[in-house]
Amino acid sequence: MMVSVTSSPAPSEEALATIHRSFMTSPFNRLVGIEFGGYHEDGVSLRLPVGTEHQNGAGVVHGGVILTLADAALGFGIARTVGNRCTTAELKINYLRPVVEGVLEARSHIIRAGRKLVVARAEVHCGAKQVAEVLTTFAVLD
Amino acid sequence: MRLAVREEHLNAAGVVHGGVTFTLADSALGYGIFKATGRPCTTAETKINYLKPVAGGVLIARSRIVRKGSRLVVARAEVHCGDVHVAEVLSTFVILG
Repeated sequence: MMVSVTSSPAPSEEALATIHRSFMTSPFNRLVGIEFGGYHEDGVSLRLPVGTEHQNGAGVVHGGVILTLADAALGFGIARTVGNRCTTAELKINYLRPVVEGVLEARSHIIRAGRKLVVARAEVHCGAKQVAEVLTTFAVLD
Repeated sequence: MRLAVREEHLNAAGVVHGGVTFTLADSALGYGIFKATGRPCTTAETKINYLKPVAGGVLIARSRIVRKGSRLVVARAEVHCGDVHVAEVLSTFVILG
């Protein structure tokens, strides 16, 4: 998908390093156990090795954990593209399958980056199986 | 699914009414899901992000099934007008009967 950026020029290497550090050292992301997966053309991928601490009372991964991973991959990918501070304005998630164990991977894809709003989607996989699909709007703050 | 934009599809601002874009996407989703399941189904919920206003041309909605369950089907659709991506849709359909 072509990424259209109208808000600002591409961030500098230094800005990218700051964004990377900011996401990977964020207290909540660290608490959950989120790891860097890699960059791709229109987003980033983040990984989460599933542990018992991520389970709900039914013994499967809590939906909030999957949403947190997807939101982090979306925010990281969007910040990397627009170079501004941004925040989730709204997010819709479809849970496709329950997850018991393995490594979750969220891949974000920017659909359109405007001056004030960015629309993006993310897919969360566990191995070869897709476990969630996400469509979101982020607000660009400055 | 395609729709050639005509004047009756426009709103007071002179661009295609959001309901038109939504209807086209919903039709492409319903058709695609019916084709995949062979069973009657109906929209349970739909979210749409409008990306660009459209004043004319031909709208094309392309649906893709994300996951087909025994009762629910999750699918997404992209609506384009020429090279311009004008809407992104994520929907849940329920299989009837």
